[in-house]
Amino acid sequence: MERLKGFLIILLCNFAGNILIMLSGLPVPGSVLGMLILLVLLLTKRVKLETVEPAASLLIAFMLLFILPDGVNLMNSFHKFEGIVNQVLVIAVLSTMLTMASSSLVAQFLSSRFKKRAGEGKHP
Amino acid sequence: MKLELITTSPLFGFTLTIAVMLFYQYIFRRAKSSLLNPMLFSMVSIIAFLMLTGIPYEHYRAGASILSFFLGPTIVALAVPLYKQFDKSKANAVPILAGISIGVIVSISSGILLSQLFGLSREVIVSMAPKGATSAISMNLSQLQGGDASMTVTFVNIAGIFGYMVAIKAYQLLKITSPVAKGIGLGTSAHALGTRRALEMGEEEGAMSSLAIGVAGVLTTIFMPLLVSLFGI
Repeated sequence: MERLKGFLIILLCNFAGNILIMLSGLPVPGSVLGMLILLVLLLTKRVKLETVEPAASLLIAFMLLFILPDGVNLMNSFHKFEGIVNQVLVIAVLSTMLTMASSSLVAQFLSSRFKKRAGEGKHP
Repeated sequence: MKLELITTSPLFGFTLTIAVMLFYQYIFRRAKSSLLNPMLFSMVSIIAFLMLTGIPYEHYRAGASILSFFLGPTIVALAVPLYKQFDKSKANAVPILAGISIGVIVSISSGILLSQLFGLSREVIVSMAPKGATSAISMNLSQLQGGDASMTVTFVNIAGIFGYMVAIKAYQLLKITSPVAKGIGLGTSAHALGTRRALEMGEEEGAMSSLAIGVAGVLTTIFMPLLVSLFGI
Protein backbone atom coordinates (compact mmCIF):
# COMPACT_ATOMS: atom_id res chain seq x y z
CA MET A 1 0.00 0.00 0.00
CA GLU A 2 2.84 2.37 0.92
CA ARG A 3 4.40 1.72 -2.48
CA LEU A 4 1.11 2.59 -4.15
CA LYS A 5 0.99 5.89 -2.26
CA GLY A 6 4.45 6.77 -3.54
CA PHE A 7 3.38 5.79 -7.04
CA LEU A 8 0.35 8.08 -6.78
CA ILE A 9 2.55 11.02 -5.77
CA ILE A 10 4.81 10.32 -8.77
CA LEU A 11 1.78 10.15 -11.08
CA LEU A 12 0.40 13.42 -9.68
CA CYS A 13 3.75 15.15 -10.27
CA ASN A 14 3.72 13.82 -13.83
CA PHE A 15 0.17 15.14 -14.23
CA ALA A 16 1.08 18.56 -12.83
CA GLY A 17 4.07 18.72 -15.20
CA ASN A 18 1.92 17.81 -18.20
CA ILE A 19 -0.72 20.40 -17.32
CA LEU A 20 1.89 23.14 -16.85
CA ILE A 21 3.44 22.27 -20.23
CA MET A 22 0.01 22.31 -21.86
CA LEU A 23 -0.77 25.73 -20.42
CA SER A 24 2.65 27.26 -21.16
CA GLY A 25 3.27 25.62 -24.52
CA LEU A 26 6.96 25.07 -23.66
CA PRO A 27 8.71 22.59 -25.97
CA VAL A 28 9.77 20.26 -23.14
CA PRO A 29 8.34 16.95 -21.87
CA GLY A 30 5.93 17.27 -18.94
CA SER A 31 7.66 14.39 -17.17
CA VAL A 32 10.93 16.32 -16.82
CA LEU A 33 8.99 19.19 -15.27
CA GLY A 34 7.27 16.60 -13.05
CA MET A 35 10.70 15.42 -11.93
CA LEU A 36 11.62 18.98 -10.92
CA ILE A 37 8.30 19.32 -9.06
CA LEU A 38 9.00 16.13 -7.10
CA LEU A 39 12.56 17.29 -6.41
CA VAL A 40 11.25 20.57 -4.98
CA LEU A 41 8.66 18.70 -2.88
CA LEU A 42 11.43 16.49 -1.48
CA LEU A 43 13.80 19.38 -0.81
CA THR A 44 11.08 21.36 0.99
CA LYS A 45 10.10 18.22 2.96
CA ARG A 46 6.50 18.36 1.68
CA VAL A 47 7.04 14.78 0.53
CA LYS A 48 9.08 12.34 2.59
CA LEU A 49 11.81 10.33 0.91
CA GLU A 50 10.48 7.14 2.56
CA THR A 51 7.09 7.65 0.91
CA VAL A 52 8.29 7.83 -2.69
CA GLU A 53 11.53 5.86 -2.58
CA PRO A 54 10.11 2.31 -2.84
CA ALA A 55 7.95 3.15 -5.87
CA ALA A 56 10.70 5.24 -7.48
CA SER A 57 13.32 2.50 -7.06
CA LEU A 58 10.98 -0.04 -8.63
CA LEU A 59 10.30 2.19 -11.65
CA ILE A 60 13.99 2.99 -12.13
CA ALA A 61 14.95 -0.68 -11.82
CA PHE A 62 12.55 -1.45 -14.69
CA MET A 63 13.60 1.51 -16.84
CA LEU A 64 15.20 -0.55 -19.62
CA LEU A 65 11.96 -2.50 -19.97
CA PHE A 66 10.03 0.72 -20.56
CA ILE A 67 12.49 1.95 -23.21
CA LEU A 68 12.71 -1.31 -25.12
CA PRO A 69 9.41 -1.02 -27.09
CA ASP A 70 10.55 2.27 -28.65
CA GLY A 71 13.93 0.74 -29.39
CA VAL A 72 12.30 -2.15 -31.25
CA ASN A 73 10.59 0.43 -33.47
CA LEU A 74 14.03 0.72 -35.10
CA MET A 75 12.85 -2.10 -37.39
CA ASN A 76 10.68 0.50 -39.10
CA SER A 77 13.56 2.98 -39.38
CA PHE A 78 16.28 0.82 -40.93
CA HIS A 79 15.82 2.55 -44.28
CA LYS A 80 16.68 5.89 -42.68
CA PHE A 81 20.20 4.61 -41.98
CA GLU A 82 20.85 3.71 -45.62
CA GLY A 83 24.13 5.27 -46.70
CA ILE A 84 24.71 7.12 -43.41
CA VAL A 85 25.71 4.31 -41.01
CA ASN A 86 29.39 5.32 -40.95
CA GLN A 87 28.59 9.00 -40.63
CA VAL A 88 26.25 8.63 -37.64
CA LEU A 89 28.73 6.30 -35.91
CA VAL A 90 31.55 8.82 -36.32
CA ILE A 91 29.32 11.66 -35.10
CA ALA A 92 28.03 9.77 -32.06
CA VAL A 93 31.54 8.70 -31.06
CA LEU A 94 33.19 12.10 -31.63
CA SER A 95 30.40 13.98 -29.88
CA THR A 96 30.54 11.62 -26.88
CA MET A 97 34.31 12.10 -26.60
CA LEU A 98 34.03 15.89 -26.79
CA THR A 99 31.29 15.83 -24.14
CA MET A 100 33.29 13.65 -21.75
CA ALA A 101 36.46 15.70 -22.23
CA SER A 102 34.84 19.12 -21.85
CA SER A 103 32.70 18.29 -18.81
CA SER A 104 35.47 16.52 -16.90
CA LEU A 105 38.10 19.16 -17.73
CA VAL A 106 35.81 22.01 -16.63
CA ALA A 107 34.80 20.17 -13.44
CA GLN A 108 38.43 19.38 -12.57
CA PHE A 109 39.69 22.89 -13.33
CA LEU A 110 36.99 24.51 -11.20
CA SER A 111 37.17 22.04 -8.31
CA SER A 112 40.95 22.55 -7.99
CA ARG A 113 40.45 26.32 -7.99
CA PHE A 114 37.73 26.12 -5.38
CA LYS A 115 39.81 23.85 -3.21
CA LYS A 116 42.73 26.27 -3.43
CA ARG A 117 40.49 29.12 -2.43
CA ALA A 118 39.13 27.15 0.52
CA GLY A 119 42.72 26.35 1.50
CA GLU A 120 43.68 30.04 1.32
CA GLY A 121 40.79 30.78 3.65
CA LYS A 122 42.19 28.42 6.28
CA HIS A 123 45.71 29.87 6.08
CA PRO A 124 45.36 33.56 5.36
CA MET B 1 -5.23 -17.00 -38.90
CA LYS B 2 -5.18 -18.38 -35.40
CA LEU B 3 -1.64 -17.13 -34.86
CA GLU B 4 -2.81 -13.61 -35.63
CA LEU B 5 -5.34 -13.85 -32.81
CA ILE B 6 -2.46 -14.51 -30.46
CA THR B 7 -0.06 -11.88 -31.76
CA THR B 8 -2.63 -9.08 -31.90
CA SER B 9 -3.47 -9.57 -28.24
CA PRO B 10 -1.66 -7.12 -25.91
CA LEU B 11 -0.43 -10.12 -23.96
CA PHE B 12 1.95 -11.00 -26.82
CA GLY B 13 4.10 -7.86 -26.98
CA PHE B 14 3.99 -7.41 -23.22
CA THR B 15 5.15 -10.94 -22.45
CA LEU B 16 7.75 -11.03 -25.23
CA THR B 17 9.40 -7.81 -23.99
CA ILE B 18 9.66 -8.99 -20.39
CA ALA B 19 10.79 -12.50 -21.34
CA VAL B 20 13.58 -11.34 -23.66
CA MET B 21 14.86 -8.68 -21.27
CA LEU B 22 14.88 -11.14 -18.38
CA PHE B 23 16.65 -13.73 -20.52
CA TYR B 24 19.57 -11.40 -21.30
CA GLN B 25 19.78 -10.08 -17.78
CA TYR B 26 20.03 -13.66 -16.56
CA ILE B 27 22.61 -14.60 -19.21
CA PHE B 28 24.78 -11.51 -18.68
CA ARG B 29 24.66 -11.46 -14.90
CA ARG B 30 27.82 -13.54 -14.77
CA ALA B 31 29.58 -11.83 -17.63
CA LYS B 32 32.38 -9.58 -16.40
CA SER B 33 32.04 -7.04 -19.20
CA SER B 34 29.30 -4.48 -18.80
CA LEU B 35 29.45 -4.02 -22.56
CA LEU B 36 27.17 -7.02 -22.92
CA ASN B 37 24.27 -4.73 -22.24
CA PRO B 38 20.87 -6.40 -22.18
CA MET B 39 19.22 -3.42 -23.87
CA LEU B 40 20.89 -3.72 -27.27
CA PHE B 41 20.77 -7.52 -27.29
CA SER B 42 17.07 -7.48 -26.40
CA MET B 43 16.36 -4.89 -29.10
CA VAL B 44 18.13 -6.89 -31.79
CA SER B 45 16.58 -10.19 -30.67
CA ILE B 46 13.00 -8.90 -30.68
CA ILE B 47 13.49 -7.18 -34.04
CA ALA B 48 14.98 -10.35 -35.51
CA PHE B 49 12.14 -12.44 -34.08
CA LEU B 50 9.43 -10.15 -35.47
CA MET B 51 11.10 -9.94 -38.88
CA LEU B 52 11.66 -13.69 -39.17
CA THR B 53 8.10 -14.53 -38.15
CA GLY B 54 6.64 -11.67 -40.19
CA ILE B 55 4.74 -10.32 -37.19
CA PRO B 56 4.20 -6.59 -37.79
CA TYR B 57 5.50 -4.05 -35.29
CA GLU B 58 1.94 -2.83 -34.69
CA HIS B 59 0.99 -6.23 -33.22
CA TYR B 60 4.00 -6.13 -30.93
CA ARG B 61 3.27 -2.52 -30.04
CA ALA B 62 -0.26 -3.36 -28.81
CA GLY B 63 1.17 -4.97 -25.70
CA ALA B 64 4.53 -3.25 -25.50
CA SER B 65 2.93 0.18 -25.32
CA ILE B 66 1.63 -0.72 -21.86
CA LEU B 67 5.28 -0.76 -20.78
CA SER B 68 6.10 2.48 -22.63
CA PHE B 69 3.43 4.22 -20.61
CA PHE B 70 5.61 3.95 -17.50
CA LEU B 71 8.42 6.02 -19.05
CA GLY B 72 6.84 9.31 -17.92
CA PRO B 73 6.48 8.29 -14.26
CA THR B 74 10.00 6.79 -14.38
CA ILE B 75 11.46 10.14 -15.46
CA VAL B 76 9.61 11.77 -12.52
CA ALA B 77 11.05 9.07 -10.23
CA LEU B 78 14.60 10.13 -11.20
CA ALA B 79 14.04 13.01 -8.73
CA VAL B 80 14.68 10.51 -5.91
CA PRO B 81 18.32 9.60 -6.74
CA LEU B 82 18.88 13.25 -7.61
CA TYR B 83 17.61 14.29 -4.18
CA LYS B 84 19.77 11.69 -2.46
CA GLN B 85 22.93 13.04 -4.13
CA PHE B 86 22.01 16.63 -3.34
CA ASP B 87 23.75 16.91 0.02
CA LYS B 88 26.93 15.23 -1.18
CA SER B 89 27.21 17.67 -4.04
CA LYS B 90 26.63 20.94 -2.18
CA ALA B 91 30.33 21.45 -1.44
CA ASN B 92 31.23 21.07 -5.11
CA ALA B 93 28.13 22.73 -6.56
CA VAL B 94 29.98 25.15 -8.86
CA PRO B 95 32.37 22.68 -10.56
CA ILE B 96 29.56 20.12 -10.85
CA LEU B 97 26.99 22.45 -12.42
CA ALA B 98 29.54 24.17 -14.66
CA GLY B 99 30.99 20.84 -15.82
CA ILE B 100 27.61 19.35 -16.64
CA SER B 101 26.35 22.54 -18.33
CA ILE B 102 29.40 22.81 -20.59
CA GLY B 103 29.18 19.09 -21.33
CA VAL B 104 25.51 19.31 -22.27
CA ILE B 105 26.08 22.33 -24.54
CA VAL B 106 29.06 20.62 -26.20
CA SER B 107 27.06 17.40 -26.57
CA ILE B 108 24.07 18.99 -28.30
CA SER B 109 26.10 21.48 -30.38
CA SER B 110 28.62 18.91 -31.60
CA GLY B 111 25.80 16.51 -32.45
CA ILE B 112 24.05 19.18 -34.50
CA LEU B 113 27.14 20.71 -36.16
CA LEU B 114 28.78 17.40 -37.08
CA SER B 115 25.49 16.12 -38.50
CA GLN B 116 25.16 19.29 -40.56
CA LEU B 117 28.74 18.88 -41.75
CA PHE B 118 27.88 15.41 -43.07
CA GLY B 119 24.73 16.82 -44.67
CA LEU B 120 22.32 14.63 -42.72
CA SER B 121 18.56 15.22 -42.73
CA ARG B 122 16.80 17.29 -40.08
CA GLU B 123 15.20 14.14 -38.65
CA VAL B 124 18.60 12.54 -38.06
CA ILE B 125 20.03 15.78 -36.62
CA VAL B 126 17.34 16.19 -33.97
CA SER B 127 17.50 12.46 -33.20
CA MET B 128 21.27 12.80 -32.61
CA ALA B 129 21.24 16.09 -30.67
CA PRO B 130 19.86 14.84 -27.28
CA LYS B 131 21.88 11.57 -27.14
CA GLY B 132 23.81 12.79 -24.07
CA ALA B 133 20.66 12.55 -21.96
CA THR B 134 19.42 9.23 -20.61
CA SER B 135 17.20 7.31 -23.11
CA ALA B 136 13.90 8.01 -21.39
CA ILE B 137 14.41 11.77 -21.59
CA SER B 138 16.26 12.01 -24.91
CA MET B 139 13.57 9.97 -26.69
CA ASN B 140 10.95 12.50 -25.61
CA LEU B 141 13.13 15.45 -26.61
CA SER B 142 13.86 13.96 -30.01
CA GLN B 143 10.17 13.32 -30.73
CA LEU B 144 9.17 16.83 -29.64
CA GLN B 145 11.52 18.21 -32.34
CA GLY B 146 10.29 15.80 -35.01
CA GLY B 147 13.00 13.19 -34.50
CA ASP B 148 12.79 9.40 -34.49
CA ALA B 149 12.77 7.95 -30.94
CA SER B 150 14.16 4.59 -32.06
CA MET B 151 17.14 6.30 -33.76
CA THR B 152 17.75 8.29 -30.58
CA VAL B 153 17.74 5.12 -28.46
CA THR B 154 20.36 3.69 -30.82
CA PHE B 155 22.56 6.79 -30.58
CA VAL B 156 22.18 6.90 -26.80
CA ASN B 157 23.40 3.30 -26.62
CA ILE B 158 26.38 4.01 -28.89
CA ALA B 159 27.31 6.92 -26.61
CA GLY B 160 26.96 4.72 -23.52
CA ILE B 161 29.03 1.86 -24.88
CA PHE B 162 31.73 4.09 -26.33
CA GLY B 163 31.94 6.23 -23.19
CA TYR B 164 32.27 3.09 -21.09
CA MET B 165 35.09 1.81 -23.29
CA VAL B 166 37.27 4.92 -23.55
CA ALA B 167 36.83 6.62 -20.16
CA ILE B 168 39.92 5.17 -18.45
CA LYS B 169 42.24 5.93 -21.39
CA ALA B 170 40.68 9.36 -21.95
CA TYR B 171 41.14 10.38 -18.32
CA GLN B 172 44.80 9.28 -18.43
CA LEU B 173 45.41 11.36 -21.55
CA LEU B 174 43.59 14.40 -20.19
CA LYS B 175 45.18 13.99 -16.73
CA ILE B 176 41.79 13.90 -15.00
CA THR B 177 42.45 12.79 -11.44
CA SER B 178 39.61 14.35 -9.42
CA PRO B 179 36.86 11.82 -8.58
CA VAL B 180 34.23 14.54 -9.00
CA ALA B 181 35.45 15.37 -12.51
CA LYS B 182 35.64 11.68 -13.50
CA GLY B 183 32.04 11.07 -12.39
CA ILE B 184 30.72 14.23 -14.02
CA GLY B 185 32.42 13.43 -17.34
CA LEU B 186 31.06 9.90 -17.44
CA GLY B 187 27.51 10.72 -16.34
CA THR B 188 27.18 13.66 -18.72
CA SER B 189 28.43 11.80 -21.80
CA ALA B 190 27.56 8.14 -21.24
CA HIS B 191 24.62 8.10 -18.77
CA ALA B 192 23.78 4.67 -17.28
CA LEU B 193 26.69 2.68 -18.74
CA GLY B 194 29.02 5.55 -17.90
CA THR B 195 27.79 5.42 -14.32
CA ARG B 196 28.58 1.73 -14.18
CA ARG B 197 32.16 2.53 -15.21
CA ALA B 198 32.26 5.38 -12.68
CA LEU B 199 31.14 2.99 -9.92
CA GLU B 200 34.00 0.68 -10.89
CA MET B 201 36.38 3.63 -10.37
CA GLY B 202 35.02 4.47 -6.92
CA GLU B 203 32.06 5.40 -4.78
CA GLU B 204 32.39 9.17 -5.19
CA GLU B 205 32.82 8.82 -8.96
CA GLY B 206 29.65 6.72 -9.08
CA ALA B 207 27.61 9.14 -6.98
CA MET B 208 28.72 12.10 -9.12
CA SER B 209 27.94 10.22 -12.30
CA SER B 210 24.41 9.31 -11.24
CA LEU B 211 23.84 12.91 -10.17
CA ALA B 212 25.09 14.01 -13.60
CA ILE B 213 22.52 11.78 -15.34
CA GLY B 214 19.62 13.62 -13.72
CA VAL B 215 21.09 17.10 -14.05
CA ALA B 216 22.18 16.50 -17.65
CA GLY B 217 18.66 15.28 -18.42
CA VAL B 218 17.14 18.52 -17.13
CA LEU B 219 19.78 20.72 -18.80
CA THR B 220 19.43 18.91 -22.13
CA THR B 221 15.68 19.54 -21.90
CA ILE B 222 16.39 23.26 -21.48
CA PHE B 223 19.26 23.64 -23.96
CA MET B 224 18.02 21.42 -26.79
CA PRO B 225 15.17 23.68 -28.03
CA LEU B 226 17.38 26.76 -27.59
CA LEU B 227 20.30 25.32 -29.56
CA VAL B 228 18.04 23.86 -32.24
CA SER B 229 16.60 27.29 -32.95
CA LEU B 230 20.03 28.97 -32.54
CA PHE B 231 21.51 26.75 -35.26
CA GLY B 232 18.39 27.34 -37.34
CA ILE B 233 17.41 23.72 -37.78
